[in-house]
Amino acid sequence: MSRPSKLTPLKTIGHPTARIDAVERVTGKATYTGDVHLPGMLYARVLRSPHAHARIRQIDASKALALAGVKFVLTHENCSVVWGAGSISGGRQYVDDIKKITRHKRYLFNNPVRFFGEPVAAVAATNRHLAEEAVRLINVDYEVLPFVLDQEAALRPESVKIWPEGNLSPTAKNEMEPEVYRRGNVEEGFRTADFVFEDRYTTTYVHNAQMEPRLCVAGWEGDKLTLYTPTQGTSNCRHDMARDLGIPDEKVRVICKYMGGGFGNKNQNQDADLIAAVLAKETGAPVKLELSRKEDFIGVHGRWPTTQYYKVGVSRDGVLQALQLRGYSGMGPYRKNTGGIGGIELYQCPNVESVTYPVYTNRAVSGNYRAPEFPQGFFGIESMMDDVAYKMKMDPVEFVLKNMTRKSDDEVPYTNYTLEECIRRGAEAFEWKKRWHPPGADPGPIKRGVGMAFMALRSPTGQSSAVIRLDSNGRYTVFVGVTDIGAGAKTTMALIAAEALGVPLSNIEIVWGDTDRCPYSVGESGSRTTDMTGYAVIEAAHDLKRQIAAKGLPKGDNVLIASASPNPTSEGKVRKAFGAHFVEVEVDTELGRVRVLKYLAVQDSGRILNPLTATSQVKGGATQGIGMALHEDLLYDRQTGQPLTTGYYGTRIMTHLDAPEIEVIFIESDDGYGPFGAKCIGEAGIVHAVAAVGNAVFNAIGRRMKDLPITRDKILGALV
Amino acid sequence: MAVIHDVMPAFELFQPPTVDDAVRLLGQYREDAWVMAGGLDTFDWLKDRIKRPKVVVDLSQVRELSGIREANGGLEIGATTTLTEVVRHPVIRGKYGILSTGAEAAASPQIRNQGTIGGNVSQDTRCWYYRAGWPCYRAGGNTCFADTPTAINREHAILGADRCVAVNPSDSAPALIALDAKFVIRTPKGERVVDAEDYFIGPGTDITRMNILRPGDLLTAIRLPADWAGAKFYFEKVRDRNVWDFPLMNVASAMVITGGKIERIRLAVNAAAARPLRLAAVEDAVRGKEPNAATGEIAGRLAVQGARPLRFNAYKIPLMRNLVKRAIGGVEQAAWA
Ligand SMILES: Cc1cc2nc3c(=O)[nH]c(=O)nc-3n(C[C@H](O)[C@@H](O)[C@@H](O)COP(=O)(O)OP(=O)(O)OC[C@H]3O[C@@H](n4cnc5c(N)ncnc54)[C@H](O)[C@@H]3O)c2cc1C
Ligand code: SF4
Repeated sequence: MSRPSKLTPLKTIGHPTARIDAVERVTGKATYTGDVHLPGMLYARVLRSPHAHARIRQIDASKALALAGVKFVLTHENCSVVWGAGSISGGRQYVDDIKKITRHKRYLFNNPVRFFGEPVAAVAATNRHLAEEAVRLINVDYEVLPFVLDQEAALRPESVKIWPEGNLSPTAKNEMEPEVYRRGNVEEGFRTADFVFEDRYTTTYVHNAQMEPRLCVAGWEGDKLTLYTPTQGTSNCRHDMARDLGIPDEKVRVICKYMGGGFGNKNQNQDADLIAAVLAKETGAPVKLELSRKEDFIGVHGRWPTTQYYKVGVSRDGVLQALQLRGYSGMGPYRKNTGGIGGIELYQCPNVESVTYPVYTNRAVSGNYRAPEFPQGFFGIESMMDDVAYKMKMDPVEFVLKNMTRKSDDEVPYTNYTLEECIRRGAEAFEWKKRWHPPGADPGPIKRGVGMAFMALRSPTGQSSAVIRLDSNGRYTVFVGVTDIGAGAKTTMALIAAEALGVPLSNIEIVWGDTDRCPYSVGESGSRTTDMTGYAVIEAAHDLKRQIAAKGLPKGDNVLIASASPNPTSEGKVRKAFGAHFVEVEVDTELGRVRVLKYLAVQDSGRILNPLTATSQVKGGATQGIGMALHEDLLYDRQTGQPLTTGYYGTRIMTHLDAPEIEVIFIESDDGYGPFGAKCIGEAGIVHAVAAVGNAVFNAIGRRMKDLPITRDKILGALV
Repeated sequence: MAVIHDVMPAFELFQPPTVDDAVRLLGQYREDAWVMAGGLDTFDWLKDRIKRPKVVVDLSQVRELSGIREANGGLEIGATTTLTEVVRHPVIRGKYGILSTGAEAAASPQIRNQGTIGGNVSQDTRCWYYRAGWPCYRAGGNTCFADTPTAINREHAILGADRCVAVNPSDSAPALIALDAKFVIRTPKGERVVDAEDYFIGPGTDITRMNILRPGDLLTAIRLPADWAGAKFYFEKVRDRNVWDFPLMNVASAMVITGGKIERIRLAVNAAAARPLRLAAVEDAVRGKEPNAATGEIAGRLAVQGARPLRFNAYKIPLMRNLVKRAIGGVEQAAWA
């Protein structure tokens, strides 16, 4: 890692700092949800649909209920809870009103069931073995229905309709319309362009594959629910639970101390949380529900698969004239997220049109996965542009420098702009000019190639809260509603507090992950926690310093308490992080094997608060991107609509031995927004990694791989 | 049906201390008994609740089944010797390096610490359909789900298919065939010793089994004869990831070169068919020739004769051709290296 920085160094911020809870974690002291055992706790298991699409004629749970120790069986017949976050039109996750108007309600148990693995019943029993046995004793009579897996096929008139209105998922206004963005006039642009290129790219469903599958423990004391669950946002989860159960927010307490990763798989509340809560209510005992790894792969969500059609018009000198995308995103049968396909915004172009269809299919549901709408879209468009550059006989880096975004939507200025610097510095450090050669030019069976892709990613400011208490011993207790999904939020908050207060890190104590003890925090999604909650910590620190100046330090039993709930804006400008990845691969064309030889990531995420965790974020994202590019996929049998490759082995997620050495260069900046100038980083590493790898493969073999993942069968197939 | 179960069902567990006790138990329970060595293939089946044996006979307490000893100038490897022990054994490394390399290519370090050589050669196929409990031929049904025009069969067979198109996934098996290993089997009738390549069977022989063991049989040891000690070896495995991934195909060759010519050779590939294939016709064709690229080309082309691709595995044909080519002629270095 290197950091060519022009910023004034700070005292606590900006130095490599180990996580403040590293010892708890590695010594096993940290309590994860799986470690929670409450007295009298029951165990739940879920019976899942063995069909991609089926109407339930009858459910007979009598044999299961007859087993001693089986306490309750939930089905669509006795449970009508609607899971808001699982069924939101337009994918507007945090807008409650949409739950009221949505036409496509996702109940906890639905009839018909619309994907393989959808919950049909849930059992609570005195132990896990018994719950599993009981699940197998439930008799379900299904009427099997036709199904559709592919997002493009689902829109054809002859396709089975998963919902009565058809398979185009409605907008937030319940209109059956695609998502459209237009600027200028593309038809005009294509007419005046000297060259027009068209192509089709596809990406697959890949799972977040976080270490810890979904699980939770729910218990009621009177009318108050306590839920232990690994959620990326305790405040949002609490609100979601309250809304879905029809109780006030303050009747729900959500606790998440430690969790085994999320990558977007654990946003909000999940159906497991609601199922456990309802079972706990019905049985009057706490209930634990743990998903198995394979269940987690199909029962929660993954990245939406896409089909992308691009049309690009360029002038003779390689300047973009028109840019068009028609995209299809497979959402599964329930709409959990936008289904957007990002990437068009990366280019400066007078005439742009993007039409995206979020489509219902009978696959596992799609939802958040680290930068939900970007890696797949960036793969499509940056492969397309790499190809256009090739066909225009231009160096791809030169092509990008000519056509990349300079203002948001070519109109609104960015809070700062370092994209060009990221690319130029990267090209220099990578020795791009020396390494790049005409595609497929290496003689012999083992060929080398280089690729580049770049990114600009939203880095919003917004509302969050923090409370700081100072006692007479000089302890600063910071209350923040963060959870640590692996990015080190607790440590980051402590660093920010120490810097803002001007005290040593060891004087700071963090209270986190408990909605009864901590104020609202934005939630660990959208790379926002550091920016938003970190900003609130600074504001609270300023409040505390003012109080100290006015009242002096607290003595004896006295304390000072400061708080802040800021909601800063970027004052009409658009805030983005920028970056560029440069990759060199080796392709063994006799065996179709791709090996990443060299990987350089140049990243502007504003000021780097902790180089250790920041570097890990970039490396982790890039690593996931390489996996998505080269081998991850959830394969379905086309005749039955059943997924076959669930689990870590099946979908072939990356291992340590597949991860290359990744070099990270941070270009630090301070745009005046965010805590000490920090911008988003959590999702920044993955967004362009897939495209960079794909472009390097093209440069090595001279054949464009348009369908992910780029496995050896495709490479060997292209070369015979 | 993709598997979404949680915990193992109940069964009766025996942990016999001797081979005789184990054989007696297996003779007593026959079809109801399941032999368990390292348990890595076993636990998948049990946890997924697809195979539900009444009795499990765990070999972990049978001391005499584990360990590597010198025998008749060669080596005898006990069936429950772990893959890690096989990988690290100095004599195997020194004289039979191909077995060390093959075993090390299997799975991951943790799995090799627990998985045994006997289990590795006796493991079942990884066909997604079969592993997920679909009622196919191999599971006793009357159809193959992997051999349909749209089936997921990228990993399936290009050779030797007979209704079932599954492949054998063992990485140690082709190395053992190349070394002309002998497998020692205890049956209720006594001991039997078979050539490595005869241990494995295809669907034409019995569609529900991958090897010759019948209920009641136990593999006790694998013997490496001295004949191929120190030969010129080549092993290469192709997989999607660098670790923790079954072979899409692998190749193993042992050659004795005299006067620049191939005097003796044994060559095998796995994951091309339901059993690891010894390529005797290729061996015959290259004997007496120089082990160079040209000979490799001939060998590769001959090796894939009769190969029949399915919808998604046509790539295995060039793959096998190139692997066999390299096993004889070596790898061409990268131009830029
Ligand atoms: C995730 C994963 C990845 C893997 N990747 C690879 C790979 O890349 N390459 C590879 O080669 N292997 C791979 N394996 C297989 C692995 O090496 C072991 O599963 C395999 O060696 C089995 O060994 P075991 O001792 O655990 O056998 P067990 O699971 O105990 O037994 C396997 C089978 O053999 C039978 N058996 C075992 N020992 C005897 C005996 N002495 N006599 C009679 N029958 C016996 C059992 O009844 C059972 O049917 C992988 C396994 C897993 C789980
Ligand atoms: S290939 Fe063999 S194991 Fe797989 S589905 Fe067909 S018959 Fe069953």
